[in-house]
Amino acid sequence: VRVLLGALVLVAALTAGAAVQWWLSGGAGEGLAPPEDGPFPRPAFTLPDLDSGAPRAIGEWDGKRVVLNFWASWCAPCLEEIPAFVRLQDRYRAQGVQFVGVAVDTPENARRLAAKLSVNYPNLVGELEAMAVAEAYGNGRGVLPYTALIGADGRVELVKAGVLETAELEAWFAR
Amino acid sequence: MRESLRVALLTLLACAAPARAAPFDALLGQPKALAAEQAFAMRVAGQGRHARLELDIAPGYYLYKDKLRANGAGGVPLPLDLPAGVPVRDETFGAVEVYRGALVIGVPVPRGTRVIEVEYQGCAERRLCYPPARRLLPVDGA
Repeated sequence: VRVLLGALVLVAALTAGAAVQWWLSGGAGEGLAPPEDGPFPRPAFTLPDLDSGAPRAIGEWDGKRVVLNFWASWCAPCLEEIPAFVRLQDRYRAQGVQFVGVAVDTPENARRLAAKLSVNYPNLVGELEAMAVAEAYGNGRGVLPYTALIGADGRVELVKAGVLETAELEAWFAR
Repeated sequence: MRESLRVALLTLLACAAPARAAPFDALLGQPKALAAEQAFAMRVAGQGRHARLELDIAPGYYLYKDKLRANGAGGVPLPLDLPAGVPVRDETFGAVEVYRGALVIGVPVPRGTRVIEVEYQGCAERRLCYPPARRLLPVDGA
């Protein structure tokens, strides 16, 4: 019994240590959540289309529920979530869901990765200018991936810095 | 009885051993990612041939070895004595090396240099990446 008690104390200590580590590693939670100052009208922007190079404005998809995803070829977590976006675009297209990628990258690198991942939704591209767009959508730290969910009424409802889970997106689609 | 105690103890330890941040992410939500300055703390110690670039990378974060560079006055590249990193097999990037934890890198800093510029890029493990960045670091005693 004494051994078991000792083990319990050890487990408690390890758990407390992990909790402290979690707290030290960043504090409050970060998930898909409303923007810091609440939902806001989606900022207008125009960037070149990844395939054609022709300028495209975000307003092109007004009236749809837009998943605006900022990514880059040098961002491994970005590339991990894109295959799920491809599946979800197929599954939810008929329900007015439109994924739009913004590659913070050179067109060559972004095109290579988009082809490799068989991306089936429009992608825009830019370097500093694309990062400025991400900032306008609430990405103050400039991290990637970063995703903004824009409602059919044109308001940025939810944002997330980091990999999006399929369940998080499907919960939004179901609303 | 004694045997079941032993099994219980081993089970508890097995559960506790990997208790890092992840279980708390599930309970309390993923922690907010650190600012790049906190995730990748760095300073320059000393001057001359034996100066060192000291990195302190927060747990759960990493820096790409091949993105780490230093420049002196006028943007002149300073050769970094980069130690081997941890090899990582990335589906997209192939074999790359990353740094985690504390690290000391030799860097010759010409006498009289007041600041050096460090270029770096890193990520939070399986979560997000920071864009390539530059940071100015004051040189000790300059």
